[in-house]
Amino acid sequence: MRKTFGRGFDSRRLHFLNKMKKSLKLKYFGLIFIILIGLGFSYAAKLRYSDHPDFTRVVIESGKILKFNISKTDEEFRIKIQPEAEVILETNKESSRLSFLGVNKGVDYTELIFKINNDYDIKTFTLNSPFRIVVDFSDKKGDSVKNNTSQNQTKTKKPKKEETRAMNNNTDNDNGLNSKKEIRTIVIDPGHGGTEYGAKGPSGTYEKDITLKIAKILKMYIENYIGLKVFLTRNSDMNLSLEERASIANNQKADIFISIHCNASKSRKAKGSETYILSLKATDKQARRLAFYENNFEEMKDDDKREADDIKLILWDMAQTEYLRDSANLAILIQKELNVLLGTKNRGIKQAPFRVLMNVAMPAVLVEAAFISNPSEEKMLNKEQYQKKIAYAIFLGIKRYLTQNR
Amino acid sequence: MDKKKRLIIFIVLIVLVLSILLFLIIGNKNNSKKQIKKKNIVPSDKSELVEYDFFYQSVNGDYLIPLKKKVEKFGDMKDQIKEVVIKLFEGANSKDNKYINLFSSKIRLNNIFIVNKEIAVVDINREIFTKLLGSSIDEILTIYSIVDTICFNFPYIKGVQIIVDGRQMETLAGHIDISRPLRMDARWIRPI
Repeated sequence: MRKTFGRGFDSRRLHFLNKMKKSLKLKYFGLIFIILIGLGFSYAAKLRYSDHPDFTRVVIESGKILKFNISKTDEEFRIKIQPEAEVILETNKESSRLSFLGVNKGVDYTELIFKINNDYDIKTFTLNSPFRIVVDFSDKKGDSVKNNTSQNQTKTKKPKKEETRAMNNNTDNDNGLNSKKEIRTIVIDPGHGGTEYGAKGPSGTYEKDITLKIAKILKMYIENYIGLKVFLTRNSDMNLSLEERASIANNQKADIFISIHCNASKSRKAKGSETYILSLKATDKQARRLAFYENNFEEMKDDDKREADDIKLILWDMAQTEYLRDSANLAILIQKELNVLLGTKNRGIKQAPFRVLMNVAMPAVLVEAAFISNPSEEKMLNKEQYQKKIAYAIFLGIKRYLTQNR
Repeated sequence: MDKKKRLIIFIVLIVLVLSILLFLIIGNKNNSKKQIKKKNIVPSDKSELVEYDFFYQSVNGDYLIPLKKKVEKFGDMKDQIKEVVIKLFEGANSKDNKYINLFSSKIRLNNIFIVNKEIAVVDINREIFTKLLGSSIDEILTIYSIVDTICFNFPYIKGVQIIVDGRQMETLAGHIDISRPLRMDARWIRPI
């Protein structure tokens, strides 16, 4: 009985399983068939573009590696991608440098056509995971740039180191914030000023005076030896808020921001130079939300307003965080030169939530040249020769940074 | 009739007087109960001491270094943090010359607020400005002496916001942003 029952059970089960297999096979076949048809005919290629101060980046993203070919006339720019793909436009905004006219479909290709408003430098490279064709349309840089692109064809560049790193990290760097960019403008910020003396040396030297002197010498070095545009946040002994300093740098579209300070300690032994970059410890999301909640309790009743303001606050705080890697690099190079030239104690690179560094949208460092509270360093800080040494060390650090970024 | 009226008025008066007396007695009893309750809220046991780690500036001026000190035990978290900060402001008072006092005797803790059980808002009096040297390292070590001491000893405190005389400040001496809570930053601490 048991056997019969067992057999009966087994046969029923087998019958059911066979049925299942058949139906599953059919389903899989159908699915694979649909996928193959889909793959054989076309891919989806997502198109997006974004404007940046000096360039516009066009990105074509696809699930599969695409062959591509670029052609350019005075008014038009075309990217031919193979095999044929369905183009999905992801950007709604208009670009100041170009406009997407549409696609031209061939037997095995799709051509994306853009109208360009000017004669731009065009750089093309690819990124992986997912596969992306990236085209940068940069404003012409006068005679400094020799256009490598032929009249009708642009060369396809290999991804740069940073881009390769980005690929390995599987991060999307389409926003171009970490890509190398020509450095043209530097803003130097002499710390303190006016009624804000900063630190005071044992023999009465004010930090605000020394920082201004060093900043002026540094400006002269950069302008004379590298020929870059330099702006000082203050040119004289005047009061200037930290927000104003950051906004000067942002408005000048500076590529580097350097704040110069002199240190002081309750310990007379403290000496040497150190360079700071922004610390992220202070920008903890939860803490930030909470601080905002406390400060804007009245407005919190309006939920929409709260959310919008909150997002605005978070985005604004992102200004410097996007440039932290570059800032750290710049800080390392400057500190290295300070150690060599000044020969004082190397206090290294440090991170702290400096308010002046928070809101600048560019690589930014704060240099603490020496300890004004240390009698011997105060004496040196008052000497023009030493001020020049400090300025020259910072200048060399910037110069090395420029070479690295070329 | 007059006698009857007088009697009624007399009885009413007695009742009124008795009820007033009764009300006063009950009221006093309640007050005394409240006072007892209040007494129970304040320090759980004044004689009991707890050891905490305090972070003071090192003599070379570079970092904060720890010092163990005992403070009275309080039942309430806020009161306990308050006690620790008051002790911190008193300075290291250590026999070895490893520490530098970042706070003057005039610096007072106005109050401490705990927000959402994880952010401590430390309200200090304006004397803090007079004691600061105006340099970044002095400002950093002063701020993180408070932040790290609180966050290290009270792990549920995720951030510390420093305010001065009840007002939110951008910085204490023109460098470090204190307009929002700061998290513990152990990079400023070195072992002795």
